[in-house]
Amino acid sequence: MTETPLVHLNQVVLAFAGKPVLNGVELKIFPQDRLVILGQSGGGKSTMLRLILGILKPSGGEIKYKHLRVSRLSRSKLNLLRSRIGMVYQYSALISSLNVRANLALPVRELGRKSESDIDKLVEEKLAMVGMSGTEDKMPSELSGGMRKRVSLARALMLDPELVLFDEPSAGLDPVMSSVIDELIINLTEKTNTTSVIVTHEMDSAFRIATRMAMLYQGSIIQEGKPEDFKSSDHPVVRQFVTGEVEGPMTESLPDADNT
Amino acid sequence: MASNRLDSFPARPNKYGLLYRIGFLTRNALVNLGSIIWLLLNTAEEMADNVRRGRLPFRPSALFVQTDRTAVGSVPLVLMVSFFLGLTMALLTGYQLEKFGVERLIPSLIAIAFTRELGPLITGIVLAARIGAAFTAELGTMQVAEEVEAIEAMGIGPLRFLVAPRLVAIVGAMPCLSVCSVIAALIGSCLISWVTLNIVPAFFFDSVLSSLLVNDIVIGFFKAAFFGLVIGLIACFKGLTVQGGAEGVGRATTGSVVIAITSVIGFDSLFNVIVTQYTK
Repeated sequence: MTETPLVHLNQVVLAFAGKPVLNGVELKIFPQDRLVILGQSGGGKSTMLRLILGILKPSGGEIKYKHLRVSRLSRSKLNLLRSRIGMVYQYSALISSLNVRANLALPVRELGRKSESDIDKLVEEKLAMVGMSGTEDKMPSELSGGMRKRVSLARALMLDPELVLFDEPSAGLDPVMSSVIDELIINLTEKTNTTSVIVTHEMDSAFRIATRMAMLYQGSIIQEGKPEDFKSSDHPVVRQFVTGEVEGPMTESLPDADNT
Repeated sequence: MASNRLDSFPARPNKYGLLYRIGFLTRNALVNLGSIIWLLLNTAEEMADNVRRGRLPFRPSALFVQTDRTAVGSVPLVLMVSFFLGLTMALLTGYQLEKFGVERLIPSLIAIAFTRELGPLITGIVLAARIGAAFTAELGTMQVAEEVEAIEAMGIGPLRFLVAPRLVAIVGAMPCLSVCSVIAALIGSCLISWVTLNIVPAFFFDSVLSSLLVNDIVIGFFKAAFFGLVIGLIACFKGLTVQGGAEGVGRATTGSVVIAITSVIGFDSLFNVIVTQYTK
């Protein structure tokens, strides 16, 4: 592909307290991709999202957002960049002391210059997009997990981001709600022409959403390509992950795999 | 044996040794002190960033909410504690001074003690327990629920958004509450002096006014503001660095109150030593 990537993780290395988490990750995210990053739990997938947002700094390599080097940006420029990226957290991370309206209005109030009436209209519009109209005055604790996730998605879309990052969007949801969230991700990213990166380990979800996929294993990307390539992959690790078999290289590398 | 000892040089530190523990605690204290100064500087920088972009450092409504709970909400407790403390102090010193026939010194003693010393100190202790604990618990819970990170990820500086209004509120509230504390203590001591020692209120307040210097009031005022900064910084720092879920929040809250109260008393003593040295 000759297109310039929106985000380029160039040989990214990250270690926590001397323990390597990412070991030379090379990944390009192109505009309007719906890139699904697969990988084991605790394998560093969510860490990659935090690196893109500049919340974590890589120990080696670099992350480029268009032509910007994320780890070298000043605080104010980094904040400006972050306002162009939406993030949907695994547990939604809505501010528990604010109602839905205030949660959605938060980024616009703090970073934009819109009047309160415009903000109210925008809140209603975004809530309608995720099918949550009429919940403006509810507190996050009054919402179910799926509803919270949808509100969190609406909040991520408030500033019309170029890129939306999803950390385990279907974790902890029933299969129906999980499909609803998947459909929302597909529809909204198509409607608004946004690029999205989805971190998940749920294969059904992954194949439904992805236009591209990448598999993270032991700190590096072992395969990257179209979803069909993953279904017919020869790579033993990818094959085991996609089919969910017990026997395979992933379980063999676990300590005391036989005893568990 | 001697060669064995040389082989294992440098010796492994004994984790239970006194020296090791003193070193460990000192290092930890210095790291925390550095981090708290970092927190203050970065909060100021995030606020300055916003001002540079032609915006207010934080929304006024956030400051009003924090000021209301910090200052207005603490008035009854500060008044009550100071009233009883003033009363007790007048009573105890009264009995002693009466023996020498100088109980007329009680008003000036209470006035100076509370304006310079006990007013800011009592207010500091009350706010560390009441507000410092609340700040730590709130920020700690937000930290655990990834709310702080979500705020950061949106490009809203979390220090400017969460820490700054709380710090400004507590720094502003402390001197005002300290004044309330002094007034309550004077009323308490005036009443008990009137009842037990026959010192009439008119004489009491005359003595108070003639004994107080502007210097005492200014020192008390700045001390209170500084204690506010110390309590606010410790509380926010402990909250933002919580680790380990609900138990971590509990531990951080206890730590915040203990460290804030100890620091307030410590700084007060240090301040007194320095001031007495230079005003001799």
